Amino acid sequence: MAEVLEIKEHHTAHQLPTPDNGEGGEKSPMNISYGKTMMWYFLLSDAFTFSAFLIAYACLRLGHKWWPNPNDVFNAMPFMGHHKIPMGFVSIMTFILIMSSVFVVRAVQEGHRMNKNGVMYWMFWGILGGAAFLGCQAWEWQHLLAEGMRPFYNVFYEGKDGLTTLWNIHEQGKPMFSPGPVAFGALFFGITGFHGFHVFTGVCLNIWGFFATANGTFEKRGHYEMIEKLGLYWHFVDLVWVFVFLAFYLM
Amino acid sequence: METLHTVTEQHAHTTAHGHDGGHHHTETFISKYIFSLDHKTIGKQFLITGMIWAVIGGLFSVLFRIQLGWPDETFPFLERMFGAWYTDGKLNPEAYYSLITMHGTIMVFFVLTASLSGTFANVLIPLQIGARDMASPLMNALSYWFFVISGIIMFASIFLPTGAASAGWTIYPPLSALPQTSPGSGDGMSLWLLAMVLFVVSTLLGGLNYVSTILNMRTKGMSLFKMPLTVWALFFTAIIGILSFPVLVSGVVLLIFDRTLGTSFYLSHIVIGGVPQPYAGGSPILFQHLFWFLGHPEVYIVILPAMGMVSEILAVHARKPIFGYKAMIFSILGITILGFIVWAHHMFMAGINPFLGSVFTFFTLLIAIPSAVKVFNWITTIWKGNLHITPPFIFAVGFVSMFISGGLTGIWLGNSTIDIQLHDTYFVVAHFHIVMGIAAFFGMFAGIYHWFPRMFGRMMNTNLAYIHFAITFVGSYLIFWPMHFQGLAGVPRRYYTNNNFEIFAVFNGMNKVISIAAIIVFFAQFLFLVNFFWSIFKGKKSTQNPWNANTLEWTSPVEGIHGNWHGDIPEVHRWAYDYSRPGNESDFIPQNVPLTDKEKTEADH
Amino acid sequence: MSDHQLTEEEYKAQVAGVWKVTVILSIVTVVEVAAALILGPHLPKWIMNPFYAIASIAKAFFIIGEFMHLKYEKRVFMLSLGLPLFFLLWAIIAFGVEGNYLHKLLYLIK
Repeated sequence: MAEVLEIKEHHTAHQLPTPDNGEGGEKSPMNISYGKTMMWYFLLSDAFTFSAFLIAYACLRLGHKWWPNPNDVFNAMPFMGHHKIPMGFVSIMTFILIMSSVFVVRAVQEGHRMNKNGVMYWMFWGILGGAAFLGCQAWEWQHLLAEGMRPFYNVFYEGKDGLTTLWNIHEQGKPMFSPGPVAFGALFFGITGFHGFHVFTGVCLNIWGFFATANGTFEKRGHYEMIEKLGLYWHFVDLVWVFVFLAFYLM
Repeated sequence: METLHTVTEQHAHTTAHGHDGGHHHTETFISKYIFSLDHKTIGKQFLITGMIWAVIGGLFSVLFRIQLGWPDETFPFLERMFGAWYTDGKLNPEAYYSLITMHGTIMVFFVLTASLSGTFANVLIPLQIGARDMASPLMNALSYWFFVISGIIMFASIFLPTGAASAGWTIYPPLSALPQTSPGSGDGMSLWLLAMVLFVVSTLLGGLNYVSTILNMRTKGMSLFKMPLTVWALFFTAIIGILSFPVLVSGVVLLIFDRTLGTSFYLSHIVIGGVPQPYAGGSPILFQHLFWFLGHPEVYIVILPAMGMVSEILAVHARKPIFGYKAMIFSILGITILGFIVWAHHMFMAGINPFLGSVFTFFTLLIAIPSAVKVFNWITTIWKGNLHITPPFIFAVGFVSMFISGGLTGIWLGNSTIDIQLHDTYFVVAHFHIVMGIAAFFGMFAGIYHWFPRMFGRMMNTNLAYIHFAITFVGSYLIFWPMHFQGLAGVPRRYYTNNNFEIFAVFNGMNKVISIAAIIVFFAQFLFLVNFFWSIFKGKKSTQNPWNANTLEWTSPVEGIHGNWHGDIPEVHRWAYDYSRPGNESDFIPQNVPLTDKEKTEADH
Repeated sequence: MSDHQLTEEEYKAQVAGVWKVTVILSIVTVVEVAAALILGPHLPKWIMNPFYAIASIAKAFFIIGEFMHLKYEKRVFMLSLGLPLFFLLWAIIAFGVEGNYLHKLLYLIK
């Protein structure tokens, strides 16, 4: 009787029996399930999207004689008033994203042990980290917008001795042509925006994963592979940030 | 007790017939033919949608060929049919540019990318590797529906009062980036960009599915090097799509920013109506690089499935093993790799660094090697074969002919020095239409004629197919061969009319011949369409294995069941090309026939 | 990943491995930022940029290898993901050459 019921369980869903879920065919040369294969190759594909953006950035930047120095552009910090702390805020953001990634790795590990509460606990922290990162990014954008930066307008121009100088639009007025290289703002908002969009998607997916875990969906399924796939996506978002950080804040 | 009864019955069913049955009682017309999750149905949906697009794209080419053939005549009947595109019986220049743009977009993306891989990857991959369905049937269906939505948006853009996108299928900025430059660069271009982003989503969903299905779902014994060449070709096609289409998305997203947010990724030093615009520091060549990073692999996305099918069809109908099976696989791999590193050969005259141009020339010419390997292998496959002259076979031979004729001119164009003269002339038009347009269509026709019995359980009419072939083959050469001479003489492509150049008046007659041939070829395709739809319902019933082919799809039931095989999936013991094996009584040995003792001892040595 | 149940020791080793990588990632980031602030203003870009790039690639390796678990997958799978990145390498070179050329062109127009 038990055996019969088990078979019924397998075939009520619309999913067909396939070599991957029980029909015994050739093993994948990669020895990895089809779901994770798809996720990995999707990420590879997405890596090409981001690389194209970053390579376009490199191309345009090399095409310019002068480019704003990131230390002089990204030096604000919330609650610090006018103190200039170059790289401070973005380092915190980077750390938040790395930690969020670590939490999700822990969730995946707990998933391997079928520890439902462990998965939920670490997913919760991972989601919180992602949301905190988005909040930081929103603050940073808002700050730059307040300084007069726009995707089509750049207030950081080449001052004396090639130093990055802020054109204060509130006091000096707003010239029709952007004082600094226009592409700087466009690339910054475009690429960090696209990354932020991925973070947002990841947070949404992770929230779904959290509730699906809470409902016991994966426990019933007998494995937490979905959490692993969400984790892969989330780490990829972290990975992309490493290169966005490199391109915009370090170089 | 009753529940238990059903459950046990289902148990018996599952063990005896795989999974089939069980579903039939819930299937309605809509779930079976419209929102189906069955890979065969999705494949047919791709095919029929592609046919509709091909007719639209072909019709557009007829319209602009009429303009090019008879630039001084008026056609009031066309004005009655197409209204706003015509003024006083003459095609408007703006409509002309929209027509060539949409012709390119529709044919390259909707017909030869989505429909060609969509149809044959869906129908053939699970059947040929021995799987019940795709890895994710749902994603597969989504892939089709994203394609449909993208198509609806593209189709809607044709009816905008300002006209469809008109910057050419390559949508180079600044023409495409600034709505002021042409009516088609307004809403038409916005819809074009939106449709393309959705199209990429569709391609990705499909491609990821094909790759993971091929890697994970092969039946017992179907090792990678026992797979038919169709599957190999579709595998690499999917990989190319996964890696190259995202770069198009990046390029398109930046273009959308330029159009909507006023950024200057691709714009610099723009003056409109005497007023300098605040765009600075961008580069239109950057867009060309991003576009062609997709655009060049794209031509291999178009041609590789056709190559794979032709390899299979030539072997089946010549009753000979494919010549150089592994050489074929590695040349596909070589084409895939080289296809990614040659993109800038489309831009020799765009103002790229000339030194970079010479590097790209070198890489480009390397592609001749794997392409030639494939061509020689096809020829040696049919060499002294026991040729069965059938519709799929003649179309496959037509493919090889087209691929050679078009490929040779590719060697000319790949040289940056010769390209200085030939760039943007009709020589280029002739080259790429023959090598990837017509050739891929021939591959597609060969595939349809060959696998029609598997898709619909019936045969297509052979005589109609021969007439279709004869007109299409001769007609295609009549259309495109003369264009080489026009191109060598310097006639520029995309021009609305060449009346202003006295020197080109010598080509007036030639242009009329080309246009007449184009019209005849276009209408000849209706022979195919009639044959296709008539045969679906009234064609001769197909036998289990009408071509006596080896691959697994011919072991699945003719009526095409959901799940592909009753009972267990056949096990595979040999490669797909055991034709005319000496000492064997029939001239083919299907893949699921176990090795004989003699073969086993041979294999050991 | 394997289907077999993890033993307690294996689990502990995995958890420890993750925290170790976390510490490494944090240290590399701190070193990058410190270098940017202390050495950045004094040393030329052609020394600093390769340093940042190498440090970032090292971080990427740790994230992909440990967090994404690729280190423990089959070699052929790693290659299938790694080799396509060479296309990007060529793209970086080609686009870089083009960027430099664009530089020349843009400043030709006065």
